[in-house]
Amino acid sequence: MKCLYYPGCSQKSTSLSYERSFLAIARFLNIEVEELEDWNCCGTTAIISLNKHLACSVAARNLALAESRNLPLVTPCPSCYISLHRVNLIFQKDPELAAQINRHLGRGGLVYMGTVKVYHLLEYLMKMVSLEKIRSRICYPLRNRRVAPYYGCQITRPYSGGDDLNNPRYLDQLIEALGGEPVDFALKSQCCGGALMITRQNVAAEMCHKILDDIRFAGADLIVTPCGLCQYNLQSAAGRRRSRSAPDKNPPILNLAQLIELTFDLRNQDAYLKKIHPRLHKDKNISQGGSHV
Amino acid sequence: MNSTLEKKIVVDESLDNHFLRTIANTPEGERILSCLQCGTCSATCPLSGILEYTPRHLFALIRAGQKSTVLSSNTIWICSSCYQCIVDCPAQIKITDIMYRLKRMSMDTRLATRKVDIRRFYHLFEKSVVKYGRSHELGLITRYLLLRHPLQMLKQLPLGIKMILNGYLKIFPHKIRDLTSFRRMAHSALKSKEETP
Repeated sequence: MKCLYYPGCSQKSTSLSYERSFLAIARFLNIEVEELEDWNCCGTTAIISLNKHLACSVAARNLALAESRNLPLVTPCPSCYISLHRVNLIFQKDPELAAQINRHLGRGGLVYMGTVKVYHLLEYLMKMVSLEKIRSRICYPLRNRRVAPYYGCQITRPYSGGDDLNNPRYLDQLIEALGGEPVDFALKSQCCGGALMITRQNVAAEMCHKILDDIRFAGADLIVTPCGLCQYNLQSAAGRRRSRSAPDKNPPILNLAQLIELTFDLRNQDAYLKKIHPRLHKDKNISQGGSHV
Repeated sequence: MNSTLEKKIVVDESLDNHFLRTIANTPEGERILSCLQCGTCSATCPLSGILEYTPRHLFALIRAGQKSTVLSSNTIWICSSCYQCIVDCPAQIKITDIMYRLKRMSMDTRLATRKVDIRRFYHLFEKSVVKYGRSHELGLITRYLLLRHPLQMLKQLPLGIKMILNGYLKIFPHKIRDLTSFRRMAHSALKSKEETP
Protein backbone atom coordinates (compact mmCIF):
# COMPACT_ATOMS: atom_id res chain seq x y z
CA MET A 1 0.00 0.00 0.00
CA LYS A 2 1.36 3.37 -0.97
CA CYS A 3 0.21 6.94 -0.53
CA LEU A 4 1.40 10.39 -1.42
CA TYR A 5 1.80 12.56 1.65
CA TYR A 6 0.92 16.25 1.69
CA PRO A 7 2.08 17.51 5.11
CA GLY A 8 1.00 21.13 5.04
CA CYS A 9 3.10 23.86 6.63
CA SER A 10 2.08 23.24 10.25
CA GLN A 11 3.09 19.57 10.14
CA LYS A 12 6.64 20.80 9.77
CA SER A 13 6.45 23.18 12.70
CA THR A 14 3.72 23.50 15.34
CA SER A 15 2.28 20.04 14.62
CA LEU A 16 5.62 18.27 14.29
CA SER A 17 4.49 15.57 16.71
CA TYR A 18 1.56 14.78 14.42
CA GLU A 19 3.90 14.14 11.50
CA ARG A 20 6.27 12.00 13.57
CA SER A 21 3.44 9.81 14.81
CA PHE A 22 1.85 9.61 11.39
CA LEU A 23 5.09 8.34 9.85
CA ALA A 24 5.48 5.88 12.73
CA ILE A 25 2.01 4.37 12.40
CA ALA A 26 2.41 4.20 8.63
CA ARG A 27 5.47 1.98 9.16
CA PHE A 28 3.46 -0.28 11.48
CA LEU A 29 0.65 -0.50 8.95
CA ASN A 30 3.00 -1.20 6.04
CA ILE A 31 1.96 1.95 4.22
CA GLU A 32 4.68 3.34 2.06
CA VAL A 33 4.61 7.12 2.48
CA GLU A 34 6.04 9.30 -0.24
CA GLU A 35 6.16 13.00 0.57
CA LEU A 36 4.95 15.14 -2.30
CA GLU A 37 8.01 16.61 -3.99
CA ASP A 38 8.37 20.40 -3.60
CA TRP A 39 4.86 20.97 -2.18
CA ASN A 40 3.76 24.47 -1.20
CA CYS A 41 1.26 26.05 1.20
CA CYS A 42 -2.40 25.17 0.51
CA GLY A 43 -3.53 28.77 1.08
CA THR A 44 -5.85 27.86 3.98
CA THR A 45 -8.54 30.28 5.17
CA ALA A 46 -6.22 33.29 4.92
CA ILE A 47 -5.61 33.54 1.18
CA ILE A 48 -9.13 32.70 0.05
CA SER A 49 -10.25 35.66 2.17
CA LEU A 50 -8.12 37.97 0.03
CA ASN A 51 -7.82 36.51 -3.45
CA LYS A 52 -9.67 33.52 -4.84
CA HIS A 53 -7.40 33.09 -7.85
CA LEU A 54 -4.28 32.97 -5.71
CA ALA A 55 -5.89 30.64 -3.17
CA CYS A 56 -7.02 28.18 -5.83
CA SER A 57 -3.74 28.37 -7.75
CA VAL A 58 -1.46 27.63 -4.81
CA ALA A 59 -3.67 24.71 -3.80
CA ALA A 60 -3.91 23.48 -7.40
CA ARG A 61 -0.13 23.54 -7.81
CA ASN A 62 0.12 20.75 -5.23
CA LEU A 63 -2.53 18.73 -7.02
CA ALA A 64 -0.79 19.29 -10.35
CA LEU A 65 2.47 18.02 -8.85
CA ALA A 66 0.66 15.01 -7.40
CA GLU A 67 -1.22 14.10 -10.56
CA SER A 68 1.61 12.33 -12.38
CA ARG A 69 2.28 10.08 -9.36
CA ASN A 70 -1.18 8.57 -9.65
CA LEU A 71 -1.51 7.86 -5.94
CA PRO A 72 -4.07 8.91 -3.31
CA LEU A 73 -3.00 12.18 -1.71
CA VAL A 74 -3.24 12.05 2.08
CA THR A 75 -3.03 15.03 4.43
CA PRO A 76 -3.38 15.06 8.20
CA CYS A 77 -4.46 18.72 8.22
CA PRO A 78 -8.23 19.37 7.88
CA SER A 79 -7.64 22.88 6.56
CA CYS A 80 -5.28 21.65 3.83
CA TYR A 81 -7.81 18.94 3.05
CA ILE A 82 -10.57 21.50 2.51
CA SER A 83 -8.37 23.79 0.41
CA LEU A 84 -7.28 20.97 -1.89
CA HIS A 85 -10.74 19.47 -2.05
CA ARG A 86 -12.24 22.84 -2.97
CA VAL A 87 -10.05 22.95 -6.08
CA ASN A 88 -11.24 19.48 -7.07
CA LEU A 89 -14.85 20.66 -6.73
CA ILE A 90 -14.10 23.68 -8.93
CA PHE A 91 -12.62 21.39 -11.56
CA GLN A 92 -15.82 19.34 -11.47
CA LYS A 93 -18.33 22.17 -11.43
CA ASP A 94 -16.81 25.40 -12.71
CA PRO A 95 -14.84 24.79 -15.92
CA GLU A 96 -14.42 28.52 -16.47
CA LEU A 97 -12.59 29.12 -13.22
CA ALA A 98 -10.73 25.84 -13.70
CA ALA A 99 -9.41 27.12 -17.02
CA GLN A 100 -8.25 30.33 -15.36
CA ILE A 101 -6.49 28.36 -12.62
CA ASN A 102 -4.76 26.33 -15.30
CA ARG A 103 -3.68 29.56 -16.99
CA HIS A 104 -1.93 30.61 -13.76
CA LEU A 105 -0.47 27.13 -13.32
CA GLY A 106 0.77 27.30 -16.90
CA ARG A 107 2.86 30.36 -16.03
CA GLY A 108 4.75 28.05 -13.71
CA GLY A 109 4.89 25.27 -16.30
CA LEU A 110 2.21 23.06 -14.76
CA VAL A 111 -1.27 21.84 -15.65
CA TYR A 112 -3.96 20.13 -13.59
CA MET A 113 -6.63 17.84 -15.00
CA GLY A 114 -8.66 17.34 -11.82
CA THR A 115 -7.97 13.65 -11.22
CA VAL A 116 -6.18 13.54 -7.85
CA LYS A 117 -8.16 11.90 -5.05
CA VAL A 118 -7.56 13.79 -1.79
CA TYR A 119 -8.05 12.14 1.59
CA HIS A 120 -7.84 13.43 5.09
CA LEU A 121 -5.81 10.99 7.20
CA LEU A 122 -8.89 9.94 9.21
CA GLU A 123 -10.89 9.22 6.07
CA TYR A 124 -7.92 7.37 4.57
CA LEU A 125 -7.56 5.17 7.64
CA MET A 126 -11.28 4.37 7.69
CA LYS A 127 -11.80 3.78 3.98
CA MET A 128 -8.50 2.61 2.52
CA VAL A 129 -6.62 1.06 5.45
CA SER A 130 -9.66 -0.37 7.32
CA LEU A 131 -10.23 -0.86 11.03
CA GLU A 132 -9.40 -4.57 10.75
CA LYS A 133 -5.87 -3.84 9.67
CA ILE A 134 -5.42 -1.27 12.44
CA ARG A 135 -6.83 -3.74 14.97
CA SER A 136 -4.37 -6.39 13.84
CA ARG A 137 -1.43 -4.15 14.77
CA ILE A 138 -2.57 -3.26 18.27
CA CYS A 139 -0.24 -4.53 20.97
CA TYR A 140 -1.39 -2.38 23.86
CA PRO A 141 -5.11 -1.68 23.60
CA LEU A 142 -6.56 1.31 25.44
CA ARG A 143 -8.38 -1.01 27.88
CA ASN A 144 -11.59 0.88 28.51
CA ARG A 145 -9.92 4.24 28.71
CA ARG A 146 -12.59 6.85 28.18
CA VAL A 147 -11.55 8.83 25.14
CA ALA A 148 -13.29 12.01 23.98
CA PRO A 149 -13.39 12.23 20.17
CA TYR A 150 -13.02 15.93 19.43
CA TYR A 151 -13.54 16.18 15.67
CA GLY A 152 -13.00 19.90 15.39
CA CYS A 153 -14.84 21.72 12.71
CA GLN A 154 -13.48 21.50 9.23
CA ILE A 155 -13.33 17.77 8.55
CA THR A 156 -16.89 17.13 9.61
CA ARG A 157 -18.30 19.85 7.42
CA PRO A 158 -19.83 19.94 3.96
CA TYR A 159 -16.76 18.53 2.25
CA SER A 160 -16.23 15.69 4.71
CA GLY A 161 -15.37 12.44 3.03
CA GLY A 162 -18.29 10.19 3.78
CA ASP A 163 -18.79 10.72 7.50
CA ASP A 164 -22.10 11.91 8.93
CA LEU A 165 -22.15 15.72 8.93
CA ASN A 166 -24.37 16.16 11.96
CA ASN A 167 -23.17 13.25 14.02
CA PRO A 168 -19.68 12.21 12.88
CA ARG A 169 -18.77 8.63 13.76
CA TYR A 170 -15.31 7.87 12.30
CA LEU A 171 -13.30 8.80 15.40
CA ASP A 172 -15.74 7.00 17.69
CA GLN A 173 -15.36 3.84 15.64
CA LEU A 174 -11.60 4.18 15.64
CA ILE A 175 -11.46 4.63 19.42
CA GLU A 176 -13.59 1.51 19.84
CA ALA A 177 -11.27 -0.43 17.56
CA LEU A 178 -8.30 0.68 19.66
CA GLY A 179 -9.98 -0.75 22.75
CA GLY A 180 -11.09 2.53 24.26
CA GLU A 181 -14.51 3.77 25.17
CA PRO A 182 -15.66 6.76 23.12
CA VAL A 183 -17.23 9.46 25.28
CA ASP A 184 -20.19 11.32 23.90
CA PHE A 185 -20.20 15.08 24.40
CA ALA A 186 -22.18 17.88 22.86
CA LEU A 187 -19.40 20.06 21.45
CA LYS A 188 -17.50 17.34 19.63
CA SER A 189 -17.53 19.20 16.34
CA GLN A 190 -17.60 22.75 17.69
CA CYS A 191 -15.00 25.17 16.34
CA CYS A 192 -11.91 25.74 18.54
CA GLY A 193 -11.41 29.23 17.13
CA GLY A 194 -8.73 28.32 14.60
CA ALA A 195 -6.52 31.25 13.68
CA LEU A 196 -8.40 33.48 16.13
CA MET A 197 -5.93 32.04 18.69
CA ILE A 198 -3.47 34.53 17.21
CA THR A 199 -5.72 37.42 16.18
CA ARG A 200 -8.30 37.31 19.00
CA GLN A 201 -6.69 35.23 21.67
CA ASN A 202 -9.26 35.73 24.42
CA VAL A 203 -12.11 34.78 22.13
CA ALA A 204 -10.42 31.59 20.94
CA ALA A 205 -9.32 30.62 24.43
CA GLU A 206 -12.89 30.99 25.65
CA MET A 207 -14.12 28.78 22.81
CA CYS A 208 -11.55 26.14 23.76
CA HIS A 209 -12.47 26.31 27.42
CA LYS A 210 -16.10 25.66 26.57
CA ILE A 211 -15.06 22.51 24.74
CA LEU A 212 -12.69 21.40 27.50
CA ASP A 213 -15.36 21.98 30.16
CA ASP A 214 -17.80 19.89 28.17
CA ILE A 215 -15.25 17.08 27.85
CA ARG A 216 -14.40 17.15 31.55
CA PHE A 217 -18.09 17.08 32.38
CA ALA A 218 -18.49 13.99 30.21
CA GLY A 219 -15.68 12.36 32.19
CA ALA A 220 -12.95 11.56 29.69
CA ASP A 221 -9.40 10.34 30.41
CA LEU A 222 -7.99 11.35 27.05
CA ILE A 223 -8.92 13.72 24.26
CA VAL A 224 -8.15 12.89 20.65
CA THR A 225 -8.46 15.21 17.67
CA PRO A 226 -7.73 14.73 13.96
CA CYS A 227 -6.55 18.35 13.62
CA GLY A 228 -3.12 19.69 14.57
CA LEU A 229 -4.39 23.23 15.08
CA CYS A 230 -7.21 22.04 17.36
CA GLN A 231 -4.65 20.12 19.38
CA TYR A 232 -2.43 23.17 19.70
CA ASN A 233 -5.31 25.49 20.58
CA LEU A 234 -6.80 23.16 23.18
CA GLN A 235 -3.40 22.54 24.70
CA SER A 236 -2.55 26.19 25.00
CA ALA A 237 -6.00 27.03 26.40
CA ALA A 238 -5.70 24.15 28.88
CA GLY A 239 -2.26 25.41 29.85
CA ARG A 240 -3.64 28.86 30.56
CA ARG A 241 -6.27 27.62 32.95
CA ARG A 242 -3.97 25.11 34.59
CA SER A 243 -1.57 27.81 35.59
CA ARG A 244 -4.37 29.89 37.09
CA SER A 245 -6.59 27.69 39.21
CA ALA A 246 -7.01 24.01 38.64
CA PRO A 247 -3.79 22.09 38.02
CA ASP A 248 -3.89 18.90 35.96
CA LYS A 249 -7.60 18.95 35.57
CA ASN A 250 -7.65 18.63 31.82
CA PRO A 251 -7.10 15.22 30.28
CA PRO A 252 -4.11 14.93 27.91
CA ILE A 253 -4.85 16.04 24.35
CA LEU A 254 -3.52 13.77 21.64
CA ASN A 255 -3.78 13.91 17.90
CA LEU A 256 -5.17 11.05 15.89
CA ALA A 257 -1.79 9.56 14.98
CA GLN A 258 -0.48 9.78 18.54
CA LEU A 259 -3.47 7.85 19.87
CA ILE A 260 -2.97 5.07 17.35
CA GLU A 261 0.76 5.00 18.00
CA LEU A 262 0.05 4.60 21.71
CA THR A 263 -1.62 1.27 21.06
CA PHE A 264 1.09 0.09 18.65
CA ASP A 265 4.27 0.87 20.52
CA LEU A 266 4.96 0.76 24.25
CA ARG A 267 8.23 2.65 24.20
CA ASN A 268 6.57 5.61 22.61
CA GLN A 269 3.63 5.29 24.93
CA ASP A 270 5.78 5.92 27.97
CA ALA A 271 7.63 8.77 26.39
CA TYR A 272 4.47 10.48 25.20
CA LEU A 273 2.57 10.34 28.40
CA LYS A 274 5.52 11.44 30.42
CA LYS A 275 5.94 14.42 28.16
CA ILE A 276 2.31 15.29 27.70
CA HIS A 277 1.08 14.61 31.19
CA PRO A 278 3.58 13.81 33.95
CA ARG A 279 0.93 12.75 36.43
CA LEU A 280 -0.77 10.30 34.13
CA HIS A 281 2.53 8.56 33.60
CA LYS A 282 2.64 7.53 37.26
CA ASP A 283 -0.85 6.18 36.99
CA LYS A 284 0.04 3.15 34.91
CA ASN A 285 -3.51 2.34 34.00
CA ILE A 286 -3.27 3.61 30.48
CA SER A 287 -2.91 0.19 28.92
CA GLN A 288 -2.85 -1.96 32.02
CA GLY A 289 -1.17 -5.22 31.21
CA GLY A 290 -1.49 -4.80 27.49
CA SER A 291 -1.01 -8.13 25.79
CA HIS A 292 0.62 -8.86 22.49
CA VAL A 293 -1.95 -9.84 19.93
CA MET B 1 -37.55 66.78 12.13
CA ASN B 2 -35.03 68.20 9.75
CA SER B 3 -32.23 65.98 11.00
CA THR B 4 -34.36 62.81 10.69
CA LEU B 5 -35.07 63.70 7.10
CA GLU B 6 -31.41 64.33 6.38
CA LYS B 7 -30.44 61.00 7.88
CA LYS B 8 -32.99 59.22 5.76
CA ILE B 9 -31.59 60.69 2.58
CA VAL B 10 -28.05 59.68 3.49
CA VAL B 11 -29.14 56.12 4.17
CA ASP B 12 -31.05 56.01 0.90
CA GLU B 13 -28.01 57.20 -1.00
CA SER B 14 -25.85 54.48 0.43
CA LEU B 15 -28.27 51.76 -0.61
CA ASP B 16 -27.35 49.46 -3.42
CA ASN B 17 -30.53 47.91 -4.71
CA HIS B 18 -28.60 45.42 -6.81
CA PHE B 19 -26.48 44.14 -3.94
CA LEU B 20 -28.59 41.02 -3.36
CA ARG B 21 -28.59 40.32 -7.11
CA THR B 22 -24.82 40.79 -7.25
CA ILE B 23 -24.25 38.25 -4.50
CA ALA B 24 -26.82 35.85 -5.99
CA ASN B 25 -24.93 35.89 -9.28
CA THR B 26 -21.64 34.73 -7.78
CA PRO B 27 -20.88 31.00 -7.68
CA GLU B 28 -20.84 31.21 -3.86
CA GLY B 29 -24.16 33.00 -3.52
CA GLU B 30 -26.28 30.95 -5.89
CA ARG B 31 -28.79 29.97 -3.19
CA ILE B 32 -28.96 33.23 -1.26
CA LEU B 33 -32.40 34.08 -2.68
CA SER B 34 -33.87 31.10 -0.85
CA CYS B 35 -32.86 32.45 2.58
CA LEU B 36 -35.84 32.01 4.95
CA GLN B 37 -34.47 34.34 7.63
CA CYS B 38 -35.01 31.46 10.04
CA GLY B 39 -31.93 32.31 12.13
CA THR B 40 -30.45 28.80 12.27
CA CYS B 41 -27.11 30.24 11.16
CA SER B 42 -27.06 32.77 13.99
CA ALA B 43 -28.05 30.15 16.54
CA THR B 44 -25.40 27.73 15.40
CA CYS B 45 -22.53 30.21 14.94
CA PRO B 46 -19.99 29.79 17.79
CA LEU B 47 -19.04 33.46 17.41
CA SER B 48 -22.49 35.08 17.32
CA GLY B 49 -21.83 36.71 20.67
CA ILE B 50 -19.08 38.99 19.38
CA LEU B 51 -20.38 39.70 15.88
CA GLU B 52 -21.65 43.15 14.97
CA TYR B 53 -24.38 41.46 12.95
CA THR B 54 -25.11 37.76 13.30
CA PRO B 55 -25.31 35.88 9.99
CA ARG B 56 -29.11 36.14 9.81
CA HIS B 57 -28.95 39.89 10.41
CA LEU B 58 -26.20 40.20 7.79
CA PHE B 59 -28.37 38.44 5.22
CA ALA B 60 -31.27 40.74 6.04
CA LEU B 61 -28.94 43.71 5.45
CA ILE B 62 -27.85 42.27 2.12
CA ARG B 63 -31.49 42.01 1.10
CA ALA B 64 -32.09 45.58 2.18
CA GLY B 65 -29.23 46.70 -0.07
CA GLN B 66 -27.13 47.98 2.82
CA LYS B 67 -23.91 47.30 0.99
CA SER B 68 -21.57 49.54 2.95
CA THR B 69 -22.94 48.39 6.32
CA VAL B 70 -22.39 44.77 5.32
CA LEU B 71 -18.93 45.23 3.84
CA SER B 72 -17.64 47.34 6.72
CA SER B 73 -18.98 45.06 9.48
CA ASN B 74 -16.68 42.98 11.65
CA THR B 75 -18.85 39.90 11.05
CA ILE B 76 -17.21 38.89 7.80
CA TRP B 77 -13.70 39.05 9.28
CA ILE B 78 -14.41 37.39 12.62
CA CYS B 79 -15.96 34.35 10.90
CA SER B 80 -13.53 31.51 11.68
CA SER B 81 -14.69 29.43 8.68
CA CYS B 82 -15.91 26.50 10.75
CA TYR B 83 -18.69 25.76 8.20
CA GLN B 84 -21.23 24.86 10.91
CA CYS B 85 -23.81 27.21 9.37
CA ILE B 86 -23.50 25.52 5.97
CA VAL B 87 -24.23 22.13 7.53
CA ASP B 88 -27.27 23.45 9.40
CA CYS B 89 -28.79 25.89 6.88
CA PRO B 90 -32.17 24.48 5.76
CA ALA B 91 -31.87 26.40 2.48
CA GLN B 92 -28.37 25.00 1.81
CA ILE B 93 -26.83 28.43 1.44
CA LYS B 94 -23.04 28.31 1.36
CA ILE B 95 -22.74 30.91 4.10
CA THR B 96 -19.01 30.46 4.80
CA ASP B 97 -18.18 30.79 1.11
CA ILE B 98 -20.32 33.93 0.91
CA MET B 99 -18.35 35.30 3.88
CA TYR B 100 -15.13 34.74 1.91
CA ARG B 101 -16.68 36.53 -1.03
CA LEU B 102 -17.78 39.47 1.15
CA LYS B 103 -14.29 39.73 2.61
CA ARG B 104 -12.83 40.00 -0.89
CA MET B 105 -15.50 42.52 -1.91
CA SER B 106 -14.80 44.62 1.17
CA MET B 107 -11.13 44.75 0.19
CA ASP B 108 -11.91 45.65 -3.41
CA THR B 109 -14.31 48.43 -2.43
CA ARG B 110 -11.98 49.65 0.35
CA LEU B 111 -14.85 49.37 2.81
CA ALA B 112 -13.15 46.82 5.07
CA THR B 113 -13.33 47.88 8.70
CA ARG B 114 -10.16 49.12 10.35
CA LYS B 115 -11.35 47.99 13.75
CA VAL B 116 -10.58 44.34 13.05
CA ASP B 117 -6.96 43.63 12.22
CA ILE B 118 -7.51 40.04 11.13
CA ARG B 119 -7.07 41.03 7.51
CA ARG B 120 -3.60 42.35 8.34
CA PHE B 121 -2.73 38.89 9.57
CA TYR B 122 -4.09 37.42 6.34
CA HIS B 123 -2.03 39.89 4.31
CA LEU B 124 1.14 38.92 6.17
CA PHE B 125 0.26 35.28 5.59
CA GLU B 126 -0.21 35.88 1.87
CA LYS B 127 3.09 37.73 1.68
CA SER B 128 4.90 34.91 3.43
CA VAL B 129 3.45 32.33 1.06
CA VAL B 130 4.23 34.32 -2.09
CA LYS B 131 7.78 34.91 -0.83
CA TYR B 132 8.72 31.39 0.27
CA GLY B 133 6.03 29.10 -1.13
CA ARG B 134 5.12 28.06 2.41
CA SER B 135 4.02 29.97 5.45
CA HIS B 136 6.74 30.69 7.97
CA GLU B 137 4.88 30.58 11.25
CA LEU B 138 7.49 32.15 13.50
CA GLY B 139 8.13 35.10 11.19
CA LEU B 140 4.43 35.56 10.59
CA ILE B 141 3.38 35.50 14.24
CA THR B 142 6.30 37.67 15.36
CA ARG B 143 5.63 40.28 12.72
CA TYR B 144 1.90 40.35 13.38
CA LEU B 145 2.11 40.45 17.17
CA LEU B 146 4.93 43.00 17.22
CA LEU B 147 2.99 45.33 14.97
CA ARG B 148 -0.47 44.83 16.39
CA HIS B 149 -0.34 43.32 19.89
CA PRO B 150 3.11 43.92 21.42
CA LEU B 151 1.84 43.12 24.92
CA GLN B 152 0.55 39.73 23.85
CA MET B 153 3.90 39.15 22.18
CA LEU B 154 5.62 39.61 25.51
CA LYS B 155 3.23 37.18 27.18
CA GLN B 156 3.80 34.57 24.48
CA LEU B 157 7.57 34.86 24.58
CA PRO B 158 8.32 32.03 27.06
CA LEU B 159 6.08 29.60 25.16
CA GLY B 160 7.63 30.72 21.86
CA ILE B 161 11.18 30.14 23.07
CA LYS B 162 10.22 26.71 24.39
CA MET B 163 8.68 25.82 21.04
CA ILE B 164 11.75 27.02 19.14
CA LEU B 165 14.04 24.93 21.35
CA ASN B 166 11.88 21.85 20.80
CA GLY B 167 11.81 22.36 17.05
CA TYR B 168 8.12 23.26 16.91
CA LEU B 169 8.87 26.68 15.46
CA LYS B 170 11.55 27.08 12.83
CA ILE B 171 13.76 30.16 13.00
CA PHE B 172 14.45 30.21 9.26
CA PRO B 173 11.73 29.93 6.63
CA HIS B 174 11.69 26.94 4.32
CA LYS B 175 11.80 27.95 0.69
CA ILE B 176 10.35 25.61 -1.89
CA ARG B 177 12.77 24.41 -4.57
CA ASP B 178 11.07 25.79 -7.66
CA LEU B 179 10.39 29.22 -6.24
CA THR B 180 10.82 31.06 -9.53
CA SER B 181 7.99 29.35 -11.35
CA PHE B 182 5.89 29.37 -8.18
CA ARG B 183 6.19 33.14 -8.00
CA ARG B 184 5.40 33.50 -11.69
CA MET B 185 2.19 31.56 -11.05
CA ALA B 186 1.39 33.57 -7.91
CA HIS B 187 1.90 36.93 -9.61
CA SER B 188 -0.27 35.89 -12.53
CA ALA B 189 -3.01 34.93 -10.04
CA LEU B 190 -2.58 38.11 -8.03
CA LYS B 191 -3.02 40.25 -11.13
CA SER B 192 -6.28 38.70 -12.27
CA LYS B 193 -9.41 39.87 -10.50
CA GLU B 194 -12.35 37.56 -10.11
CA GLU B 195 -15.25 38.93 -12.04
CA THR B 196 -18.01 40.74 -10.18
CA PRO B 197 -21.35 40.14 -11.84
